[in-house]
Amino acid sequence: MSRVLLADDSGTMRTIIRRSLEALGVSEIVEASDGNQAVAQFQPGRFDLVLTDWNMPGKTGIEVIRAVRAVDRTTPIVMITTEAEKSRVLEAIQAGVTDYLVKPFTTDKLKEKLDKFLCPA
Amino acid sequence: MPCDLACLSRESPTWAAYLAEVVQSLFATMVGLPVERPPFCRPMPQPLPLAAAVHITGVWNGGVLVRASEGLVRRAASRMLHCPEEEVGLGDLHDTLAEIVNILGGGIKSLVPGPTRLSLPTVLHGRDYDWQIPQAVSLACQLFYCQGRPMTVRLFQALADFPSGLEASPGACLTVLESEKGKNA
Repeated sequence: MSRVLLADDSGTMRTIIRRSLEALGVSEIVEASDGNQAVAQFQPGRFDLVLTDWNMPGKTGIEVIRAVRAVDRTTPIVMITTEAEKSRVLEAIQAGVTDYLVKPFTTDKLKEKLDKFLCPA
Repeated sequence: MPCDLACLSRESPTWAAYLAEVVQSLFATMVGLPVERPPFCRPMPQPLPLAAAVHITGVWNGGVLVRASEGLVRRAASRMLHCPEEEVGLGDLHDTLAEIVNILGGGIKSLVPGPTRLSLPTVLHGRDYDWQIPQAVSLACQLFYCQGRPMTVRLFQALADFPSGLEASPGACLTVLESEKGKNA
């Protein structure tokens, strides 16, 4: 039983990720379509995993990570983004990201990335 | 007659190859369908009523502009959302095209000098527009087909990035026309 906070301004991308999460047996998926919503939804201990895009209206993914890390040091955060440069990955790591997935990705790659952070159903 | 016109051009095979690689990678991984470039020059397909753009700013300034047939975007959305094409709504079309141009922009961003920032995508849907990008030049414009459905992808760069070699006249701009005007003439 896992609970996931999913932040991406693209409804298409949220659907793709949600389908993979459901296939992996995630019981609760809370979606946020911008960074402000993501920060507002997050509470320490409420989620087993946070997934966030980088470029979103309102708070960026980096700002979401910083806001989460300000109150929670342990919940894994995976950034799923088009930002592929090393400098951006380093910036995310410094902000406290746990793992990083660059778009475009295959469904198999996405599931492989998510699976290691999810508890067995 | 509708047309797609680059007023100023710095197009090169290298940029065209980069663009093709990014587009083909996106469609292979996210859409699960191949895209093909026509083996010979052919007239720009019309109409392409869906358009989307992202801008890259920083050390390098420019962006990516995609224009596509509704059929292509509908098929891509259907594949990405795992639903029948007839269930793809207008919002899905716009959102899918926005994500496509966002990923293409990210791919190009990783190839140009940094640091740079990627804008949020914008989408335009219509049959009678002129899209002008002031003070920009075309680096590449590629025509692709996905199962017979057309799409053009253009990479452009700001004139200001070229310290010499291109004279920037006050009215210089990259103009993309998608107009039904004159179609029945």
